[in-house]
Amino acid sequence: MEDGRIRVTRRDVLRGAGAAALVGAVAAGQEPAAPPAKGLARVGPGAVRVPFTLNGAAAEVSVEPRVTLLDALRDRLDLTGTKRICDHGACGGCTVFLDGKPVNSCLVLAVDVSGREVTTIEGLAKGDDLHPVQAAFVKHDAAMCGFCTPGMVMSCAALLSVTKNPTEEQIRRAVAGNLCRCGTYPHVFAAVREAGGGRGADGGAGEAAR
Amino acid sequence: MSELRLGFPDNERKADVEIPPGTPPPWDLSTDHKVVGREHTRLDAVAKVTGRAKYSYDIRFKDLIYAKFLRSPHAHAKVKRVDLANAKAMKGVLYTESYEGETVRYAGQHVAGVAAESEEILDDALRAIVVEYDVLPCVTTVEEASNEGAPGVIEGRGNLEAGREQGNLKRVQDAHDEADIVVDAEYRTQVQTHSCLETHGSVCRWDGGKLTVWSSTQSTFAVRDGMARTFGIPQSDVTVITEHMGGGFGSKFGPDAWDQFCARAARATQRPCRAMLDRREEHLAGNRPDSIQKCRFSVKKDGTLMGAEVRSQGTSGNATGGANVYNPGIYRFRAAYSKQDTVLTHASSGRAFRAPGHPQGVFALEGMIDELAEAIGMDPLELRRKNDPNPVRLKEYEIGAKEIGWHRRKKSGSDAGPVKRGLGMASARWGHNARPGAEVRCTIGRDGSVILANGSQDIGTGTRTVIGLVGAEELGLGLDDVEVRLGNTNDPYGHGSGGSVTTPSITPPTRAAAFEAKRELLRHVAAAVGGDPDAMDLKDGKVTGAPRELTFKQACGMLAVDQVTALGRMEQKPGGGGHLYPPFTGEVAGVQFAEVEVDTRTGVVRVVKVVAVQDCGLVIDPLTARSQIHGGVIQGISYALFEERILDRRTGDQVNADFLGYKIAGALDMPEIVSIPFSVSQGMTTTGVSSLGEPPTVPTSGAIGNAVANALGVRIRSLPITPAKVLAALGGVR
Amino acid sequence: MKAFAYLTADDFEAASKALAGKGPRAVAKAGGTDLLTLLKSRLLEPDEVVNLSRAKRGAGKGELSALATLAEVAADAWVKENFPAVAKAALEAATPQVRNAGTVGGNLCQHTRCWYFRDASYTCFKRGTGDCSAAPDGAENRYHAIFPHKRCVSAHPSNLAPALIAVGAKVACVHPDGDRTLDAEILYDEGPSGRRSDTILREGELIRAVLLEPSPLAKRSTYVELRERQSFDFALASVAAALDLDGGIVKDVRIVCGGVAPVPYRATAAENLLRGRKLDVEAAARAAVAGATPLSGNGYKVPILGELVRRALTELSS
Repeated sequence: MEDGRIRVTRRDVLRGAGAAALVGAVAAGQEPAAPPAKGLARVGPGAVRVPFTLNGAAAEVSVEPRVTLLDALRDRLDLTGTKRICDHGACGGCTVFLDGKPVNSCLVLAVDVSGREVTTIEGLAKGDDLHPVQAAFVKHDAAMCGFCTPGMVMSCAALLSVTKNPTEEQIRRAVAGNLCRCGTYPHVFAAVREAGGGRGADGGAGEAAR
Repeated sequence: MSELRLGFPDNERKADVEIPPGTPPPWDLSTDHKVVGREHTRLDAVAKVTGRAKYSYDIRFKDLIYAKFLRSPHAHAKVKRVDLANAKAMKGVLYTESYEGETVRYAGQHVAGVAAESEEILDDALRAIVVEYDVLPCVTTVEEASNEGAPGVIEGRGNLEAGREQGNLKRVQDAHDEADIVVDAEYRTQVQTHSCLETHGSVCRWDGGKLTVWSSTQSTFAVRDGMARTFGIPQSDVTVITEHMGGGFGSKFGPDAWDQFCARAARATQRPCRAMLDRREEHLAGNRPDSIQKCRFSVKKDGTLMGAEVRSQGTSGNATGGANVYNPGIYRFRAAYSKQDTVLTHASSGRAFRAPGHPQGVFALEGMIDELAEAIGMDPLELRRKNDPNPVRLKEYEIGAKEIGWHRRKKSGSDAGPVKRGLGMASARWGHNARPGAEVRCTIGRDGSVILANGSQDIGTGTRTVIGLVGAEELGLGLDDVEVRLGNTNDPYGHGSGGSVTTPSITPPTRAAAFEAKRELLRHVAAAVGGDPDAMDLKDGKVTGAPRELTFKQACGMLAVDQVTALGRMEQKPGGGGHLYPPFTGEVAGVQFAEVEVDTRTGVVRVVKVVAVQDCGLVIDPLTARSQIHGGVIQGISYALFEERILDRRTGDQVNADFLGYKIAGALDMPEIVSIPFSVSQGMTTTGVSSLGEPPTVPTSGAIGNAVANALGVRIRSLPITPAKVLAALGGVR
Repeated sequence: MKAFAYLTADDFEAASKALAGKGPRAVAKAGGTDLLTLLKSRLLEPDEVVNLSRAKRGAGKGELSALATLAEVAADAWVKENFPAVAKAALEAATPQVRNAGTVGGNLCQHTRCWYFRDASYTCFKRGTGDCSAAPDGAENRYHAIFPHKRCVSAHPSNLAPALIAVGAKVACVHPDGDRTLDAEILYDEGPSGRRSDTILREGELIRAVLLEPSPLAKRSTYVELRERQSFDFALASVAAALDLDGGIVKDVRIVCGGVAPVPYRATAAENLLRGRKLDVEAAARAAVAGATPLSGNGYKVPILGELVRRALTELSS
């Protein structure tokens, strides 16, 4: 930001590409009632075809603009690993990557992801090869009922993608938006410390080996 | 006669026992386990971390439809008219129900129901329903509901449900008279909602006259029986499936109104239907009742506990009963008396919640114990040790005190601050809840495959893994060598996961099934290679005591039949029933120590460290046991500092029915937690395994409350301990 | 959510045109993190949602795009160096997921978290459905304002607003009737009798960018907040403060509080007390809360706010 502005990032370029793709999208139902004004692309309220990249492959879903990305993933694309828990952005159960960054998919409209890249929990492991965070979660028993786990895993994987060997404080902050009711947090911290290349289980979370 | 070694290394007791023929010799301190007692990763861990685990919420069909209730914004009203015309006229609305004419007794009670092609249509349809109410005055607190002339919650009965009265008041008063110090105090606890992350609900599908329910439940068989009754069909026509479920904590023990509605909608439309509650509704689906506990306790200067007198009131909403608290208890008093009332209010019903009655009772009980200690100038740990009859807890005090550094505890209020540190402690007492009736089927195939099957559910406690470990141990195999099938009512019966009964009750049948299947397998081996089958056993993947070396797989290859199958159950004493073996204590003991930091300028309490030492009989797997203890502590922290259902007193409506206003502890609120599973040979059953799910959440709020009092020198007798209450106690609020 | 048409705007001008004159029938969406919760609870039922998130980021030198995410602001070296209060406020907001989606413009225009505002079954001055439900006896107002307006006692939820006001930021706005630049503080001007809308923005008017000018005052600025729960929680109170010290004498100071009034609350009395004198933190903390008139359930916020003022100024004076 040496020139004193929030500069154009790769993400803006992606957004630009997305906008073009959206203009290309057509209402699956009837034509819009009014001709679009200059500088505006109008779709809906009927179903809209939304092309995007899902877990590395081209995908398309046809939904009304009011459908969230979360509901599109779960109820249209059968990707049910992403959980609907609070549906208001307070629990992190629906965390996915949008253009590589973790967001609450319950607070994103499916039409918003046109032309963009979405990664869900199903896209994190490569076949049977677990992501290091997943493997560490298994080892450290970081899932009890498991319902918060996919979102928790996504937040931790996002952390490790930008921070190698994170501190305990960084881990806690990374999952501060993911609620767990069973109380797996200390195991999550231990798992991420290990996956990040740090100390193993016998650290500050008090999991003294007994 | 055999010798059973009970207890723990520092405190062992031997018992002469008769081992009934055909049953496995009971596990005790002599048993050299190969699998049990070691750390394993959960059988379903990979499914859970990859998102492949299918919960009821995740069950999908191409022709799935969606059902939901419309709910009343009023806490007390007559439903005068429900106009469904606009909703019914919508394309994609497939089924409706009206509850016109009914009386609403809590805000959020259902007044109409809709099933539709999509959730979006469903949302539109619910919005289009017009309901007319006769709104009536409501009462939402114990105090209001107890007022003379208060509106009644249930017609024809008062709001006060005089509850259980225990003990002899006269003897308690005598004890007070004899005591040196009598302390009076009133403690209060709040309403806590279960806040399961997977909300309540189910997916229902009819195939002809047969119903399949994918239910988010703690009791597949209770859902089966409830649905069979609802529809007047035989149990055999209902299958309930719960492969994975996202938390219950006591709130999911049978089909609820929405499940039954879902099944009716599915039947009417002949399409599979899903009804899962949203987050707002989830706060209606059960809660831990609140409490007001008026306590009068007394003590002698030498630390002898004398009288304990408790009068408690609490509300379980519009449910009659259920607001009892566990106070007094745990400690030996000269005499104790309690009277516990439930007060009806216009609020949603309480339900069992992880150790019902205990956290609220123990918060007050342990606060009182500390107040007595303070009054006679005795160390609170010393006072407890002096009056605690349980040998396990006496050992746990030692372990926990050392781990937290109890010697660092200062005189209450003496820390200089402004951020003051304090130490506190509290205990838990729970039953050894091994309950007969559950069955496990063990099948050993000719190819060496092993399947252990039970129809109950794993609510996140690790039941699936526990069954696998116990079966593997008995068969001399590893956890990876056995498959566990769980969560389908077409498999043998298992109890609801409540009262911490699951592990103590499912492990003996698992052992029995594996033992019986093993004996049958070895008879086949003996028939093939000779030798005495009764002298043979399975160990480390091999047959021992056979005329020649045989691996488990080779042995299975000798089966003269396709497979051997055995159904195991928890054996009871012949004739009179009851457990096969004597207990060590017959109860479960736990202690917790907490260290807190209180910022006296802002009132914010930070829990720095919790040490939890928890007995659970024989520890099956220390890793999952620690998870359970951690979980109990964390829910306890959340209860102590954050959670509170807030009802608007005018409307009875919960104003914080989400996850922002209803605050459960998150990652940044976590202290260092040291969970120490304390293994005790408890006897009673063939496994000696005891209860673990509930007790670890019992003492946490009491320990934190005592630590805060130690830090401040002022006691906050009301949960949750918020900045508002801390500042008020310190006199900083005008 | 009610069904709506979705309009994607190439730029702010087109979006503003599309919104103007439509009242509640059209709403703007940037990150969507607040809007979607309101749509889901049907507090808003627009026919059209105008999506800004793909609009050209019209940020020039010294400007923060309204579409910059909170995460981007928190990580921006120029902001961190010259406007530390703004970077800290962005970093403390919500959760990592929300910070990746929520924008500067959205944070400034978000609606109050007042639970009566957010439930259509209650009357609400802000929603135009009647009197405030949070003020009368029996109301639950533990998280509400301690400097309430007589017609609304909600607490302003924004992290960024106090910080931007403290560093003297301006907002550049776009409207078909003419663009304008406003002091960030003016955005929330309540006028003599209170205002229903959250900002003074005209119908369809959009914040395009925040204008930041480095100054000694802005450079010595900070943001502190206090949460009941350390994980995701709206602050009980927050304080953004900026201080220009000249040889121990306060040349200029700004103290702006969040979560304590229906709009960001400028502690003018405390500022006046400090200006031109030697820094007296205790006196400022007392003056900042002197005019507080807490409600039935939130008196505890008064000492908390005083403490936050104390912390902010102490940090800046060292």
